[in-house]
Amino acid sequence: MSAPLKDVKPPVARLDSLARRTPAATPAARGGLKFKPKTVARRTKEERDADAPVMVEAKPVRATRGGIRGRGRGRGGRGGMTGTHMVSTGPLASGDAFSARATPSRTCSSSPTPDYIAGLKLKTERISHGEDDDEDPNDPKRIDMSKEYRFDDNETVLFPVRALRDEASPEPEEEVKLEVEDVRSLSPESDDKPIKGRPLDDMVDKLHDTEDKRVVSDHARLTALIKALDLGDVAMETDEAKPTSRKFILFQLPKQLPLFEMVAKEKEEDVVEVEAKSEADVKPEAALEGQVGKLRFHKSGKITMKVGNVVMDVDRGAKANFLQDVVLVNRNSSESRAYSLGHIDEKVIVTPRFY
Amino acid sequence: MSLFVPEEEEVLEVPVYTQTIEDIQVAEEEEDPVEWEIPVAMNPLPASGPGEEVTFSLLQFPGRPAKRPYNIETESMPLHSRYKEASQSIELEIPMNTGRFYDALKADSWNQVTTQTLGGPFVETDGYYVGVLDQGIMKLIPLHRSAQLRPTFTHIDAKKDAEKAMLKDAMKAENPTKSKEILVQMSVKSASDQQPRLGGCLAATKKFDEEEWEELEWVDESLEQSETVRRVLLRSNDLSKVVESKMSADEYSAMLFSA
Repeated sequence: MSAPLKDVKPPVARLDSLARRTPAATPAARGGLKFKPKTVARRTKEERDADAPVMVEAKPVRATRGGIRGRGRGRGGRGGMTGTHMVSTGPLASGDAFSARATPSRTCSSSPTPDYIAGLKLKTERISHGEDDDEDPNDPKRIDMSKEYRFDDNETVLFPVRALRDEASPEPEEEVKLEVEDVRSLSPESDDKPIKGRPLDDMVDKLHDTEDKRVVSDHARLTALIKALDLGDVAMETDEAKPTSRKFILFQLPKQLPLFEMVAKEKEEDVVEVEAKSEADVKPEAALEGQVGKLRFHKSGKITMKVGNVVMDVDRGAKANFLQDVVLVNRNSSESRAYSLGHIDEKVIVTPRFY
Repeated sequence: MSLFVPEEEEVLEVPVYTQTIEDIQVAEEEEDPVEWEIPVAMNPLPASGPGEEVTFSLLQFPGRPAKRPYNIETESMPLHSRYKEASQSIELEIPMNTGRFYDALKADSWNQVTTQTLGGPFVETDGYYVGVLDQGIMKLIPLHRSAQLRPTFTHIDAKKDAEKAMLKDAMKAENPTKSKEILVQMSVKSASDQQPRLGGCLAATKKFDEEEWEELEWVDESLEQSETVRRVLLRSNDLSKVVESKMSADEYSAMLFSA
């Protein structure tokens, strides 16, 4: 069965199978009443001969349409419909046999509307080719929204701002991808091997490594930033007239800080819970004031912050590309003003550690 | 169940509380010593005078690159800034560069728009501080609130409103008697307490619409006045004194978990 199907074009194969079935089918047909005339009518040699030339004519047409061999294979019945009525009635009986045997090797070729899909494909291909042809990378009119603008900053004033892609560090991304593949390869093996295999551990280790590297680079950056600020400041420390910095760092601390006691206040208050509520913050007299801790730079490059007696982790927050202004609004009866004081440059997140 | 009881007991026998967080911190410091440090000080806003309200805010502009601030330097200092106290909203009017990407025809249809209005509501913040390294101390000023300012397109609304008003006027002019009758009916209706109350967003919008803008004078960061404010902000507090915390790290983490 399969040999003729592969070698010869579908119609012939169809006839082949019909021919083989005739001896088996006819005795059964003799017993049955309704199906008999149909099968007999189809399988007479005269009709076969009559069909044969028609089908031969149909072949080249199909070939020119696109050379997709599969069109005739899976749905032999449909191919036949275009040619003759005989084949079109056939598939219900013999078509099943075809699909059951022939399709396993050629499943991908069958599709309900091959012409339509082929046409679609062609069109999309053409369109994409056309675009490629038209696309001149230096064409100023063409703006690729997925890439950074190639224009000067001044030209893109009204252009939308979007997050930059992290192109600076492609290496860690690759690592992560590899790790993901590891996971995939793990699943089929899991049948034979225990799930607690080493690939997962390796993956976790790798992830930790990547994270550690990022933290180290973040800390290095923060250190550099603060050192630069500090040096500039130390030089001018004696000079009261030195202009204050217009660059700020946004700090995010835990909402609940360790409780502090005011030591040198005139009114000796016992354990003032100054950080408890935001309401307390608004009232300046209740707000925590004074040195609460230290920003510590370790030998390894790590940065921690000691608040009271608690050591907290310091991390660099995601850098925002958009403008962030620090504004003091002073409203009183005579005149209300908004003082623009400067801009946020970096963000630092301080988190307590849970051991 | 009986099977698991002895196991649990065994687990409990494993030392859990022998090491305090302090011990771990000490051990870590020995392993990775501190090379240098900067004192960190809480530097709250100085007490405001009578009849005065001072708030320390963060304005975020999601549509504006950080490199191009709205100030005198970039020729885009806000011309007007407005504030609504009850709705906690702020609006800035930014001058537009009419020499670039400027459609004069469109601007005409929008009543000669030459400014861009950015606005947004304030949100109270907690746990955020603006840090400045000043005189060798990292000074943390608690932020009261933040706002994200986006284009408000008020010019389009204004045009729409104007068109609506014109239509209304035209209708009134056509049949003034009818409108009078309707007015009487309306008054009767409003007298009863049956009017549905606006909830949530609609109520907030109504409140916002009914509140009058209060003009704020915008002071550029480069001006002397702003410098003075920064100076007062940073140096009015005596931050040399150390406030004490008797709370140990263990007590702190216990407090966090209990909260």
